[in-house]
Amino acid sequence: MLAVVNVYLETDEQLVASARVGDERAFDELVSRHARRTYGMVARILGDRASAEDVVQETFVRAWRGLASFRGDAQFSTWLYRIAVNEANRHFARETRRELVSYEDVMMKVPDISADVPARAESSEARRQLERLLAELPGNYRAPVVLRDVEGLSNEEAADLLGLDLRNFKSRLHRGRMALRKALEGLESE
Amino acid sequence: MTPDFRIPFLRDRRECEAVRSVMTDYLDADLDDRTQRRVDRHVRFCPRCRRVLGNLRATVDRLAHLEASPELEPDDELVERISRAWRSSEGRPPSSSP
Repeated sequence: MLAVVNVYLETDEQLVASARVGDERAFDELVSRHARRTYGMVARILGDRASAEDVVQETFVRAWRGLASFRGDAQFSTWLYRIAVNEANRHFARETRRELVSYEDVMMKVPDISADVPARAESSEARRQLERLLAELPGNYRAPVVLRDVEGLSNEEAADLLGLDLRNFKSRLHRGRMALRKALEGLESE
Repeated sequence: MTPDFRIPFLRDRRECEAVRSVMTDYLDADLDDRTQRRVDRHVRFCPRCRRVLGNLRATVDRLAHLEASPELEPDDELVERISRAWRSSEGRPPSSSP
Protein backbone atom coordinates (compact mmCIF):
# COMPACT_ATOMS: atom_id res chain seq x y z
CA MET A 1 0.00 0.00 0.00
CA LEU A 2 1.46 3.32 -1.06
CA ALA A 3 1.93 5.95 1.61
CA VAL A 4 0.12 9.15 0.76
CA VAL A 5 2.46 12.06 1.08
CA ASN A 6 0.94 15.44 1.75
CA VAL A 7 3.14 17.73 -0.29
CA TYR A 8 1.68 20.77 1.41
CA LEU A 9 3.44 19.83 4.62
CA GLU A 10 6.85 19.22 3.10
CA THR A 11 9.67 21.73 3.13
CA ASP A 12 11.14 23.06 -0.10
CA GLU A 13 14.19 20.84 0.45
CA GLN A 14 12.01 17.75 0.75
CA LEU A 15 10.03 18.70 -2.34
CA VAL A 16 13.23 19.25 -4.33
CA ALA A 17 14.52 15.84 -3.29
CA SER A 18 11.25 14.24 -4.46
CA ALA A 19 11.13 16.22 -7.67
CA ARG A 20 14.70 15.18 -8.52
CA VAL A 21 13.55 11.58 -8.84
CA GLY A 22 10.63 12.56 -11.02
CA ASP A 23 7.86 13.36 -8.54
CA GLU A 24 5.85 15.84 -10.58
CA ARG A 25 3.43 16.60 -7.76
CA ALA A 26 6.34 17.79 -5.68
CA PHE A 27 7.47 20.16 -8.42
CA ASP A 28 3.89 21.35 -8.88
CA GLU A 29 3.87 22.30 -5.21
CA LEU A 30 7.15 24.21 -5.64
CA VAL A 31 5.58 26.08 -8.54
CA SER A 32 2.52 26.92 -6.46
CA ARG A 33 4.68 28.25 -3.65
CA HIS A 34 7.02 30.39 -5.69
CA ALA A 35 5.27 31.39 -8.91
CA ARG A 36 3.56 34.55 -7.70
CA ARG A 37 6.51 36.10 -5.98
CA THR A 38 8.82 35.17 -8.86
CA TYR A 39 6.33 36.75 -11.25
CA GLY A 40 6.22 39.97 -9.22
CA MET A 41 9.99 40.25 -9.14
CA VAL A 42 10.40 39.54 -12.85
CA ALA A 43 7.59 41.93 -13.80
CA ARG A 44 9.29 44.73 -11.88
CA ILE A 45 12.72 43.98 -13.30
CA LEU A 46 11.38 43.93 -16.85
CA GLY A 47 8.89 46.75 -16.31
CA ASP A 48 6.55 44.66 -18.42
CA ARG A 49 3.87 42.28 -17.13
CA ALA A 50 3.22 40.60 -20.48
CA SER A 51 6.82 39.52 -20.89
CA ALA A 52 7.07 38.54 -17.24
CA GLU A 53 4.83 35.51 -17.69
CA ASP A 54 6.94 34.17 -20.55
CA VAL A 55 10.07 34.64 -18.50
CA VAL A 56 8.55 32.98 -15.44
CA GLN A 57 7.36 30.01 -17.48
CA GLU A 58 10.85 29.57 -18.92
CA THR A 59 12.29 29.94 -15.43
CA PHE A 60 10.35 26.98 -14.11
CA VAL A 61 11.07 24.91 -17.22
CA ARG A 62 14.78 25.49 -16.67
CA ALA A 63 14.42 24.77 -12.98
CA TRP A 64 12.72 21.45 -13.71
CA ARG A 65 15.41 20.46 -16.19
CA GLY A 66 18.22 21.66 -13.96
CA LEU A 67 17.16 20.17 -10.65
CA ALA A 68 20.06 17.75 -10.68
CA SER A 69 22.47 20.70 -10.66
CA PHE A 70 20.90 22.25 -7.57
CA ARG A 71 23.35 21.36 -4.84
CA GLY A 72 21.22 22.52 -1.93
CA ASP A 73 23.88 24.88 -0.60
CA ALA A 74 21.43 27.76 -0.95
CA GLN A 75 17.71 28.01 -0.52
CA PHE A 76 15.62 26.78 -3.43
CA SER A 77 14.08 30.24 -3.75
CA THR A 78 17.54 31.81 -4.12
CA TRP A 79 18.47 29.30 -6.82
CA LEU A 80 15.15 29.92 -8.56
CA TYR A 81 15.67 33.69 -8.40
CA ARG A 82 19.06 33.27 -10.04
CA ILE A 83 17.46 31.43 -12.94
CA ALA A 84 14.70 34.05 -13.14
CA VAL A 85 17.15 36.96 -13.19
CA ASN A 86 19.24 35.26 -15.89
CA GLU A 87 16.11 34.68 -17.97
CA ALA A 88 15.00 38.27 -17.43
CA ASN A 89 18.43 39.50 -18.55
CA ARG A 90 18.24 37.30 -21.65
CA HIS A 91 14.81 38.68 -22.43
CA PHE A 92 15.95 42.23 -21.77
CA ALA A 93 18.97 41.84 -24.04
CA ARG A 94 16.68 40.85 -26.89
CA GLU A 95 14.65 44.04 -26.53
CA THR A 96 15.48 47.33 -28.21
CA ARG A 97 18.36 48.87 -26.33
CA ARG A 98 17.21 51.68 -24.09
CA GLU A 99 19.18 54.82 -23.54
CA LEU A 100 20.57 55.32 -20.11
CA VAL A 101 19.21 58.40 -18.39
CA SER A 102 22.09 60.68 -17.54
CA TYR A 103 22.61 61.27 -13.88
CA GLU A 104 21.38 64.77 -13.02
CA ASP A 105 21.93 66.88 -10.01
CA VAL A 106 19.12 67.73 -7.63
CA MET A 107 16.82 70.48 -8.83
CA MET A 108 16.83 73.84 -7.12
CA LYS A 109 13.47 73.26 -5.59
CA VAL A 110 13.34 70.02 -3.62
CA PRO A 111 9.88 69.21 -2.29
CA ASP A 112 9.57 67.09 0.78
CA ILE A 113 8.21 63.65 -0.03
CA SER A 114 9.10 62.15 3.32
CA ALA A 115 5.80 63.11 4.93
CA ASP A 116 2.98 60.59 5.28
CA VAL A 117 5.06 57.61 4.23
CA PRO A 118 2.81 55.05 5.97
CA ALA A 119 -0.29 56.57 4.37
CA ARG A 120 1.39 56.65 0.99
CA ALA A 121 2.47 53.06 1.37
CA GLU A 122 -1.13 51.95 1.80
CA SER A 123 -2.67 54.04 -0.95
CA SER A 124 -3.18 51.89 -4.04
CA GLU A 125 -2.86 54.95 -6.26
CA ALA A 126 0.48 55.80 -4.69
CA ARG A 127 1.62 52.20 -5.18
CA ARG A 128 0.60 52.26 -8.84
CA GLN A 129 2.44 55.52 -9.23
CA LEU A 130 5.60 54.05 -7.73
CA GLU A 131 5.29 50.89 -9.85
CA ARG A 132 5.01 53.04 -12.96
CA LEU A 133 8.06 55.11 -12.04
CA LEU A 134 9.99 51.94 -11.24
CA ALA A 135 9.08 50.51 -14.64
CA GLU A 136 10.36 53.69 -16.30
CA LEU A 137 13.83 53.38 -14.79
CA PRO A 138 16.56 52.19 -17.13
CA GLY A 139 16.97 48.44 -16.78
CA ASN A 140 20.53 48.71 -15.47
CA TYR A 141 19.24 50.72 -12.52
CA ARG A 142 15.89 49.03 -12.10
CA ALA A 143 17.08 45.47 -11.39
CA PRO A 144 19.33 46.48 -8.45
CA VAL A 145 16.51 48.54 -6.93
CA VAL A 146 14.00 45.70 -7.34
CA LEU A 147 16.25 43.05 -5.83
CA ARG A 148 17.60 45.20 -2.99
CA ASP A 149 14.75 47.46 -1.99
CA VAL A 150 11.62 45.57 -3.08
CA GLU A 151 12.72 41.95 -2.66
CA GLY A 152 14.91 42.71 0.36
CA LEU A 153 18.04 40.88 -0.73
CA SER A 154 21.35 41.99 0.71
CA ASN A 155 23.75 43.96 -1.49
CA GLU A 156 25.95 40.90 -1.80
CA GLU A 157 23.08 38.54 -2.71
CA ALA A 158 21.64 40.95 -5.25
CA ALA A 159 25.03 41.71 -6.82
CA ASP A 160 25.73 38.00 -7.11
CA LEU A 161 22.37 37.36 -8.80
CA LEU A 162 23.07 40.08 -11.33
CA GLY A 163 26.63 38.96 -11.93
CA LEU A 164 28.02 42.32 -10.83
CA ASP A 165 30.90 43.14 -8.53
CA LEU A 166 29.74 44.83 -5.37
CA ARG A 167 31.06 48.28 -6.25
CA ASN A 168 29.33 48.30 -9.62
CA PHE A 169 26.12 47.04 -8.07
CA LYS A 170 26.08 49.73 -5.36
CA SER A 171 26.74 52.42 -7.94
CA ARG A 172 23.75 51.30 -10.03
CA LEU A 173 21.60 50.93 -6.92
CA HIS A 174 22.44 54.48 -5.87
CA ARG A 175 21.64 55.89 -9.29
CA GLY A 176 18.38 53.98 -9.43
CA ARG A 177 17.31 55.19 -5.99
CA MET A 178 18.24 58.80 -6.73
CA ALA A 179 16.44 58.72 -10.07
CA LEU A 180 13.29 57.40 -8.38
CA ARG A 181 13.57 59.99 -5.64
CA LYS A 182 13.83 62.74 -8.21
CA ALA A 183 10.87 61.38 -10.17
CA LEU A 184 8.76 61.31 -7.01
CA GLU A 185 9.79 64.86 -6.16
CA GLY A 186 8.80 65.86 -9.67
CA LEU A 187 5.32 64.45 -9.15
CA GLU A 188 5.05 66.27 -5.85
CA SER A 189 5.92 69.55 -7.56
CA GLU A 190 3.08 69.26 -10.07
CA MET B 1 20.94 91.44 25.25
CA THR B 2 22.47 88.37 23.78
CA PRO B 3 23.81 88.99 20.30
CA ASP B 4 22.17 86.88 17.66
CA PHE B 5 25.02 84.81 16.28
CA ARG B 6 24.09 82.89 13.22
CA ILE B 7 26.74 80.84 11.58
CA PRO B 8 26.32 81.40 7.87
CA PHE B 9 26.41 78.26 5.82
CA LEU B 10 28.48 78.63 2.69
CA ARG B 11 27.26 76.02 0.31
CA ASP B 12 30.09 73.96 -1.09
CA ARG B 13 28.67 72.28 -4.17
CA ARG B 14 31.48 69.79 -4.32
CA GLU B 15 30.83 68.78 -0.74
CA CYS B 16 27.13 68.44 -1.50
CA GLU B 17 27.92 66.22 -4.48
CA ALA B 18 30.37 64.15 -2.44
CA VAL B 19 27.83 63.64 0.34
CA ARG B 20 25.02 62.77 -2.05
CA SER B 21 27.21 60.22 -3.80
CA VAL B 22 27.43 58.20 -0.58
CA MET B 23 23.85 58.60 0.59
CA THR B 24 22.92 55.05 -0.40
CA ASP B 25 25.79 53.66 1.63
CA TYR B 26 24.78 55.97 4.47
CA LEU B 27 21.23 54.64 4.48
CA ASP B 28 22.55 51.08 4.36
CA ALA B 29 24.92 51.81 7.28
CA ASP B 30 27.76 50.84 5.01
CA LEU B 31 30.14 53.73 5.61
CA ASP B 32 33.25 53.93 7.71
CA ASP B 33 32.85 55.99 10.86
CA ARG B 34 34.72 59.00 9.53
CA THR B 35 32.61 59.28 6.37
CA GLN B 36 29.41 58.74 8.32
CA ARG B 37 30.31 61.60 10.65
CA ARG B 38 31.07 63.74 7.60
CA VAL B 39 27.57 63.09 6.22
CA ASP B 40 25.98 63.71 9.62
CA ARG B 41 27.76 67.05 9.94
CA HIS B 42 26.91 68.13 6.41
CA VAL B 43 23.19 67.39 6.53
CA ARG B 44 22.96 69.13 9.87
CA PHE B 45 23.85 72.41 8.20
CA CYS B 46 22.81 71.91 4.57
CA PRO B 47 19.00 72.05 4.30
CA ARG B 48 18.96 70.96 0.69
CA CYS B 49 21.02 67.82 1.29
CA ARG B 50 19.05 67.13 4.44
CA ARG B 51 15.90 67.18 2.35
CA VAL B 52 17.48 65.00 -0.34
CA LEU B 53 18.50 62.44 2.27
CA GLY B 54 15.06 62.48 3.86
CA ASN B 55 13.41 62.00 0.49
CA LEU B 56 15.80 59.21 -0.43
CA ARG B 57 15.02 57.43 2.82
CA ALA B 58 11.30 57.86 2.16
CA THR B 59 11.72 56.46 -1.36
CA VAL B 60 13.47 53.35 -0.08
CA ASP B 61 10.79 52.90 2.59
CA ARG B 62 8.04 53.07 -0.02
CA LEU B 63 9.82 50.51 -2.19
CA ALA B 64 10.00 48.14 0.77
CA HIS B 65 6.19 48.20 0.96
CA LEU B 66 5.79 47.23 -2.68
CA GLU B 67 6.71 43.57 -2.39
CA ALA B 68 3.26 42.44 -1.39
CA SER B 69 1.58 44.88 -3.75
CA PRO B 70 -1.66 43.56 -5.22
CA GLU B 71 -1.02 45.66 -8.32
CA LEU B 72 1.41 43.01 -9.58
CA GLU B 73 -0.61 39.93 -8.75
CA PRO B 74 -0.76 37.55 -11.69
CA ASP B 75 -4.07 36.06 -12.74
CA ASP B 76 -5.26 32.82 -11.15
CA GLU B 77 -4.36 30.69 -14.13
CA LEU B 78 -0.67 31.56 -14.07
CA VAL B 79 0.27 28.56 -11.96
CA GLU B 80 -1.67 26.24 -14.29
CA ARG B 81 0.01 27.65 -17.37
CA ILE B 82 3.43 27.27 -15.77
CA SER B 83 2.60 23.66 -14.88
CA ARG B 84 1.60 22.91 -18.46
CA ALA B 85 4.79 24.54 -19.73
CA TRP B 86 7.24 22.52 -17.66
CA ARG B 87 5.30 19.25 -18.05
CA SER B 88 5.34 19.59 -21.83
CA SER B 89 8.99 20.60 -21.98
CA GLU B 90 11.61 18.16 -23.13
CA GLY B 91 14.03 16.85 -20.58
CA ARG B 92 13.53 15.60 -17.09
CA PRO B 93 15.73 15.66 -14.03
CA PRO B 94 18.61 13.29 -14.88
CA SER B 95 18.04 11.26 -11.74
CA SER B 96 14.45 10.39 -12.65
CA SER B 97 13.62 6.93 -13.95
CA PRO B 98 12.30 6.67 -17.55
